[in-house]
Order: sequence, then C-alpha cells, then structure tokens
Amino acid sequence: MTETKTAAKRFAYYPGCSLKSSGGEYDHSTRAALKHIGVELTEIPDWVCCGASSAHNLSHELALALPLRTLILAEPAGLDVLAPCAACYNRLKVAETSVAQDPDVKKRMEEIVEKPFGGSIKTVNILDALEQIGLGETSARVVKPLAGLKAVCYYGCLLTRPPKKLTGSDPDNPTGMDNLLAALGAEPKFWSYKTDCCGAGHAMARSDVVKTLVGKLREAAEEAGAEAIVTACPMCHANIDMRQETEPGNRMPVFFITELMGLAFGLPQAQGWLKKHLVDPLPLLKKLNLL
Amino acid sequence: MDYNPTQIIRMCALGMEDEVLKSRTIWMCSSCVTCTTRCPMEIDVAGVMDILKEMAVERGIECPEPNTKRFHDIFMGIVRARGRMNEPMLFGHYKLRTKSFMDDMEIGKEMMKKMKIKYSPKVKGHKEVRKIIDKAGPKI
Repeated sequence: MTETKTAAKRFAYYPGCSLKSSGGEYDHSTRAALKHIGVELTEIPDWVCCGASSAHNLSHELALALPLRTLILAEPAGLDVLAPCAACYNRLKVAETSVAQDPDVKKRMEEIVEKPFGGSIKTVNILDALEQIGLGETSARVVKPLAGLKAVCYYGCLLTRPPKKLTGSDPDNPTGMDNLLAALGAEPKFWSYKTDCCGAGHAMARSDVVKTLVGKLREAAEEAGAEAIVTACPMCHANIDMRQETEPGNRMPVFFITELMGLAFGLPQAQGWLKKHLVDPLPLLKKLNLL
Repeated sequence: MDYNPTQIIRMCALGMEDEVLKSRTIWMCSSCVTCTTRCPMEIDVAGVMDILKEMAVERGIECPEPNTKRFHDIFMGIVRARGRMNEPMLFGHYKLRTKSFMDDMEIGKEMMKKMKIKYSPKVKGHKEVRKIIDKAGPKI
C-alpha cells in the first residue's frame, strides 16, 4: 500500500463559507496537514457560495449555475479544485458532471453565468486528493501514531451520493477515510452507518430531527466499539458536536480527519483546533497518551 | 412526514398535484439522496423532491414547515447581497424572523466563547451572484 511520490501536488483551494466560519478547524487543519505533505493550495480568488442546501431547495437551475461560476473562475489557473467541505464538493462536482454529461444543461448554465466552461478542471474532495497523492505520503510523516484510538469513519451523505455524479466512492461502504485513519495508526471500526444522514440542514429549523439522527449515530458508534467519530463534513461535525442529547460528560467527541492527521504529524497547532470543539476531545486523547 | 417518498412518487404518477405540493414530506426531505442511489427504476427521487418544492413555491402554496422555508429564504438573501454566506447574519436574521431566541442558547453561548463564528466579507463577485440569482431564481 505504501507508495512514495516526491512530486509536489498543487490544487486550487475552495474552502467554502462554513470553513471560513464555524468550520474553521477543518480549514486550518486541512491547510496545515496538506502543507506538511508537500501540497500547495492556492485559494481561488473571489470565490462565491456554492449554493449549499438552500439553492437546490429553491431553484434547480441556481443549484448548478452558482457552483459552475466558481469552476469557471478557477479554470484559467489549470488546477483541479479541492473542496474539503462535503457539501461544497458535492455542489461543485454535480455542476461539473452535469454539464459534462448533458450539452443542453451546459448551454443553459453558460447562458445564466454568461461565461463558458471548458471542462478542463476537476473537483476533488479531501479523501480523493489524499488518495491521488498516495497514502504513503501521509503514513511516511506520522511521528505520533494514533495507537489505541478506536473510531468510526462517518462519511455522511454528500461525499458519495449521487454516485453517478461524483468520483466513484462506494455509496454504501466507502473506505477512503478508513484507510487514511489506519495509515495514521488509529483503529477504524466497521459500522453500518457510514453514510447515514445526520439531519444536515435541518439543524436550525428542525433540530429535533437532527437530535434523533445524531442519537442513532452515536449509539451505533458505541456499539461498534468506537470512542470517537471521524468526519470530513463541517455540517456533520457541527451536528454531532452540538446536538448529542446525553449528559455533557457523556458525549462522543468528533474529529475532522485532517485534525487527526495534524495530531499524528506532531503539528503543535493541532491542540488549538481541538479546543474549538464543543465536545472536548482532549480527555480521550490524554487517556490514550496521544497528546 | 405525512407521506413516505414511495407514496409521493406514486401520487405524482397519479397526478395528485394538490396533495403532493401541499405535503410536509417534500420539505422534510434532507436531500440525503439515498433514494436516488437505491431506486431500481432509476428515478431521481431526491431531484423530484426539490422540483416539487420549487413548484409549491411558484404556486404560492403556504409551506407547512415555515421555519424551513424561512431558513432557505434568509440564506439565499444573504448570498445574493454578499456573494457568500455570513453566519452571524444568518443566525441573527433567522432568530428574529422565527422568534426563536431562546432556542439553542447554550450552543450559541459556547460558540461565542470559543469565537467560532466569523463575519465573512462581502465579495466582489456578489454582483455576478446577484445577476445569476435574478436569472435562475428563486425570486428574492
């Protein structure tokens, strides 16, 4: 499984609105972890919102036109676009493949955005990017293997669905994050809730739904023998971090996969990211001597 | 959810516009897209849910999940004005419009203490975003 490539990789970087605000730890840990493995990220200048949930809930044309505008903006630089946020990745990728698969959609979207898209760049998510670079680049830089950390990988909905419009991870049993977690020395636990919904955008208007779904996830994680949940989506992270209904001392910590990379790489700023979580992960990490 | 997704699709096929467009189900959909992924007849069920929402709004049907609709309207309004989402504005406007200040107080306090919420800038591209939204909808 180990392959070491010395070629540096470059990506255009699309943080998205969440990573610039409440999902800040994901932004910081992604930038730090990727820099550490020799990847250069260039933030797309003047990027705009991907539309998230609200665009596709209100207008199917807007849902494609808005993210396409960002891809058109990024195209001249000639770099593939890395979007760590699962929702942004999903919106950008669906726009990219929808125009590639259907010339009528392409024509209509270019009409709306008033610019053409050449289709010469691709959108990738964090798991794709790390796989492309080669897991060996990650495992080679682990100085503090996360030994003893039993965690379930929670992919959520948007990294793998709809499969026909995305990059090909199995929508029922994806393994990219599990492989990455193992490469960091931790113990990914198998569970059947890898891609079950957390309630997503219902967080504000129907938090009761989110609380129920998050409760199921937490129970399932415990049954699988996990002490933590790992994710690659800021919405899932926020929901799991903030909507567990067990007593405060009895909540499962949730990590961004890139935070764990930072920890395993021995990056000093990693603890700072973890302090932003509402469910404090430090007691667990201290117990396992991982700090 | 008043009807399950299977029922919604069948009702569409039977032309039961009124019942479908007035349903709570279409607004409770979280767009997890599991349905689309699994449907053996290859119906984009999640896509259908989205279109039904669009049609319901177009026909002026009162949304049975008003806070959900308010959330989406506020979200798009901010994006239209600024090009990007701005969380302090989103939370502020949402709490005001839905009169739900007391909900999530604890979470709000924690997020403020940890300085998790940032005031995102209005970007140059907001003018293009406004044009795109005005062309493609929704009407804001």
